[in-house]
Amino acid sequence: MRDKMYSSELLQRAIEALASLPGIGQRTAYRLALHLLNQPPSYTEEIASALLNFRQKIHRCLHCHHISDEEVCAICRDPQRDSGTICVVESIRDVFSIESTGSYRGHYHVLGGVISPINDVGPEDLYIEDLIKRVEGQEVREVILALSATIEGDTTMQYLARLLRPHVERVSFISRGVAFGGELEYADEWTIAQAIRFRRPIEDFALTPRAEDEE
Amino acid sequence: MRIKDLHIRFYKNLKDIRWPLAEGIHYITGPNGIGKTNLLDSLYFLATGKSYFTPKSLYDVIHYDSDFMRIQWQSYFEAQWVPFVIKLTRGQSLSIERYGKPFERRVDYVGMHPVVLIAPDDIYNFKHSASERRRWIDAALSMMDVEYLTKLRQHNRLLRQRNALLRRAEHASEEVYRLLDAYDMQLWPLVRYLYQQRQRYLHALIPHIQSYYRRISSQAERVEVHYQSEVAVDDYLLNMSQRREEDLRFQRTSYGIHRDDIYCTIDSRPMKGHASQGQWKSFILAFKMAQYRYMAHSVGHLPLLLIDDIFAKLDRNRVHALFEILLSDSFGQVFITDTDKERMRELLKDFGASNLEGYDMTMGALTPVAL
Ligand SMILES: [Zn+2]
Repeated sequence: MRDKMYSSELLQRAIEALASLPGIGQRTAYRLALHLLNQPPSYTEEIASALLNFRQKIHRCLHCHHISDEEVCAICRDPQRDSGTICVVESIRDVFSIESTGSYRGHYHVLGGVISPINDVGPEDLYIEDLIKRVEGQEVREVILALSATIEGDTTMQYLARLLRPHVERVSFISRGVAFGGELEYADEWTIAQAIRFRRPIEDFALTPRAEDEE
Repeated sequence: MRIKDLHIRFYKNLKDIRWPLAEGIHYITGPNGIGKTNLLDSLYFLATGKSYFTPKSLYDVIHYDSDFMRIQWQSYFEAQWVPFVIKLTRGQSLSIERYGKPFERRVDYVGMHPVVLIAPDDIYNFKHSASERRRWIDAALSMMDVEYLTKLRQHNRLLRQRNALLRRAEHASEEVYRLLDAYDMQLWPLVRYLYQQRQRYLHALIPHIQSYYRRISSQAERVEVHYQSEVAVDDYLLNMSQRREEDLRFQRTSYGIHRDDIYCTIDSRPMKGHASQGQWKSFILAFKMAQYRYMAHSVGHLPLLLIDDIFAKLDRNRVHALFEILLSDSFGQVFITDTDKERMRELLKDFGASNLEGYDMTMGALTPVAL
């Protein structure tokens, strides 16, 4: 449709690539491309190689699936941290949110989502098997479930609780006052810290009020 | 509750309607297709954030020539007039504001303006569709009780997930059963609550339905409604687990309150097959009036009553009986549409009450009719 607009196929392709990023429209992409054009080529090279390095060399941690520069992430490698406690979250963003509070000293496990058959996501699509292997293989006293306060988050927590209980002394969940998952990054640090401090055993789960699910 | 200074912009075919509104009954006549039904629908939208006639597709309420629609008005709450605005722009979510400040959650708004609407298709829909019968109960309870609305949504979401799982599962496995456990455990308290509320509500409606039925039909038959559910609340989990094989085979949930129904009788015989068309009409009117009465009592103020174009379907006696009820019982603002201008003149003459106003609707305007 717009292929004739820029009279350069190279420019056209650069704009398309930039515009494919979330939050960047055609107009912004066009401005960014022109900006790159006005700088020396080394400027673009630096950006490109930073991105390429980041994307090619970054790992998912072998144990917890958090991002890592090495095979095992800095959190899992830290000898000061308590490997007997694992906090289960949906995404790496949740790890960043909880880490920013500085109040949690255990390990993590990133699931990669929540169970939602409507969206064709089943347990096999998440890092659930890995989690079970972890609690079987190492001494884990407590697993804290910190998933979204939604139907899907709750379902995943119930499902996990059943699987974990034979292997772990204590399975707890974070009090439902805080919205988790995607919204965890918007909760303030004090709220998250409080929620972790006042986590409750999973047996109380069914008794707690649930956050609303707007459709 | 009362509303005034209504200003509608681009709601369906209504481009720009300004209407100060009176206190009692508004009787609007005009030819077909002029927008009378849309006018009532805009009031229903004002009350619920949804269209009564096109509930599934949100943007259908926007005029085809416009990118947005807006409904503005004032409501009388706690001894003062409060300005409200509802705005909908294509591609965006619905915004509802009070004093210029948007409601953050829809549930905070739902129920502030209770409403009952009676439409010509109601009789057919109620007679022929179980899901429509359930909708009448769910919509009313959701308007009166935010907890019901919230739990109903959670229940429906869980059911959709459960059905998606049943479709997705190729065969029964430990994993599928463990997930079904998680869904059923969450469904159970919701099913218990929704079941009890529906049963209680329908039971409370019966005396109102019977009294309105007698007044509308002036007949001695006795009508009754019964809540029909195959669910045994205390054995819910047991039943759910016993039906798993079947559910997996048919790829849907076969047990639960999503299959509930209303069973209606006339002189102890099922209305379906035994009631005449006239008896059905009286019954449907009585049912809606009963819903109004119960809602007024439950929320503590008078709901809006919207009566769309049903007089043509009723005989003279029923229309008169309905008018007597509207003028003698306590109702808030009532909106009636009709294509027959003569009938309106006659009714205005017969009933000539001070709180009855006639309007003539032409393309894009409402004109008061002098008696
Ligand atoms: Zn790690």
